[in-house]
Amino acid sequence: MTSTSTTAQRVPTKPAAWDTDGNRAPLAPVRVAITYCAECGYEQFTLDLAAALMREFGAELSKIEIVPWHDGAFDVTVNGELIHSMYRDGGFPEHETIIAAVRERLAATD
Amino acid sequence: MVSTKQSANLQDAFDSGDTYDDYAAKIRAEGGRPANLLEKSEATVSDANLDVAPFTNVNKPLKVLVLSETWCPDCTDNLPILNEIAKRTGKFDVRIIGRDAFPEVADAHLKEGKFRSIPTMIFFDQDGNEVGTFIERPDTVTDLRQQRRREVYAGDPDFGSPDTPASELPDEVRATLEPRLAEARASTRDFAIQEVTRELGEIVARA
Repeated sequence: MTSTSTTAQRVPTKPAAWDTDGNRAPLAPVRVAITYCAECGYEQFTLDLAAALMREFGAELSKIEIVPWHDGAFDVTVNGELIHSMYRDGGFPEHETIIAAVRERLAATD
Repeated sequence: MVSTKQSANLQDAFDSGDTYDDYAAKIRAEGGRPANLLEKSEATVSDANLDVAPFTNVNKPLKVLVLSETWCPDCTDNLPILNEIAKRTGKFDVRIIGRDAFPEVADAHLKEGKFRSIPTMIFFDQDGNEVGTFIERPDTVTDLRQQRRREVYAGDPDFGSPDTPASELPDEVRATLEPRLAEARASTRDFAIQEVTRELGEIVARA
């Protein structure tokens, strides 16, 4: 089927490590969790961030978890590390901030 | 203290707004969580926690333009309080508009000069002079909610720190913690009604 999408080709998030047989090296497993206040009308921003991560990383991410919660929360963790907290940092995160944190951890292939 | 003269823009916004009953009907029609919250909020405003005495001395009714969104919990919490005072005293003529449909009005009434917090209730006198603004909720209510939240976390070592994102708790811990947080928030409702009423009373005292 011919795609009619005008979306630009996704740029690889890191230079892929290819072995001599042309196989890509495995990426480090990365899990993103978004905890959002379910009483606060944050649903759309939560879904927008999840969609941005899906578009950027596709199956390179191990998991995107969405946790409905209380008390004005909007927390984003990457592999358990708190990247953005509405309490701590104020407001919502820039998508690019979360994407950069994911990219950094994907690249950490040890 | 009389301050900003009501602009034609604000008057237009007021004239285009919904009455409380129409706005509440919209929320109920959309259903889901906001409709449930509105129903609970309306049911909890009572003679026991609502003191309308500060409003009975208002000489002429005030106009109240409210910025809101139907999904906003502070709106479904606080609009029924405003409406009940209006109904019981006849001192407020309330109209409600969507915040996102009137960004210029929102930007002229920011919380701490930077946040488009809602509800924003803008009070006007009969001459169109703005006499005061109520935004979101009283700080005393925020403080009590935070205190109750800390108490919940302190009550069980499994809950860990209040700063730990819920996503990092084991599912079974989260399942135990969640209803306790909901209960803690609900326990602040009477206090919130009293504090919102007090803050609104302070605004009309300046009119």
